[in-house]
Amino acid sequence: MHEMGLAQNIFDIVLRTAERNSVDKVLRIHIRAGQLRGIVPEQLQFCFGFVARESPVIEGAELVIETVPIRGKCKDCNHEFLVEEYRFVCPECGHEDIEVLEGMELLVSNIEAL
Amino acid sequence: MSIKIQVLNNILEINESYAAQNRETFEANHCFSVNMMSSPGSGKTTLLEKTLERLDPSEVAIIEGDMQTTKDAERLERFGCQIVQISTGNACHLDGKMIHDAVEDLDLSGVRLLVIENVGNLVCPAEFRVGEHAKVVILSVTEGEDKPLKYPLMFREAAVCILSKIDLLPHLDFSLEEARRNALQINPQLEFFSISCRTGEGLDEWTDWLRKRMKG
Repeated sequence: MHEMGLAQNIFDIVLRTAERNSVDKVLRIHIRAGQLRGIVPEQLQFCFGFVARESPVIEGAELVIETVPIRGKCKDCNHEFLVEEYRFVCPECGHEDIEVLEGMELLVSNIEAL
Repeated sequence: MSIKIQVLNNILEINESYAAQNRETFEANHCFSVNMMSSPGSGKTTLLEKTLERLDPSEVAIIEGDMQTTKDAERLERFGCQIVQISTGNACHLDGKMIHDAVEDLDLSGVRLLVIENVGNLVCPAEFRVGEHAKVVILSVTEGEDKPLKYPLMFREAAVCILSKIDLLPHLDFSLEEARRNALQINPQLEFFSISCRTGEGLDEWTDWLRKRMKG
């Protein structure tokens, strides 16, 4: 259950942002979670709902989680492609050394607030 | 009217910064660090015992993560190497800060290998970098060949995969070949060691791998 720790980190980031921008109420928090992170949205939302009670500015805010598919780049032929079913092989040249461009991120991308 | 505020903050940034600090400490001490991870019961502690029998314990330090007990640390005490036990309570993984605090209790001068035995769990430990040079995942042959496909991040992040308890293969339907194929699909760079702690098979190859890196 590492979702609880992540929820706490999200809360800290959102609280800092809310204070810096003097917002009255946070309505929505947009999270980008790479597919490789294996985040279970419902679990993270549940934990966040619990943590958010610490601040009346954040309590009740909706956590919107966008799962980012894995994009890879072949280190041999530079071909960029969507990694499906965790198959890290270049579909163009068969090379197996693939750089992960997207799919490992885990960030608070933006918040909507009043 | 609601406003949109761009944030773009990494949710794991605090952990990443501890991990980077830890890495600097390891580098400054010329200490190679491995983070060993697996499901509960795959034989991590037994493998560590067999590994310590083949290395010079004065060159090894261990950080032992366990949710509730100190049993694993007690098993390793006889080797006389430095051991720090972290009782994680309900936490299912070790993180950068826990390792940072544990390292403060170690004297790393003269230590060439730091082994971090993570909490038995294939999900959460993969999420949290602790500053290690290499992640090692142990998959025992009593588990399924499809484990790599079920826990892709763990196998993607690992540098080494140890297939353990291979002395049991004659009694099982487990296919080493299929397990390897599944893991390589996720991580074609993965190095494998097939090991039996009971017969000793594969242990020399594994400890040679470590020894090579301990020399820097």
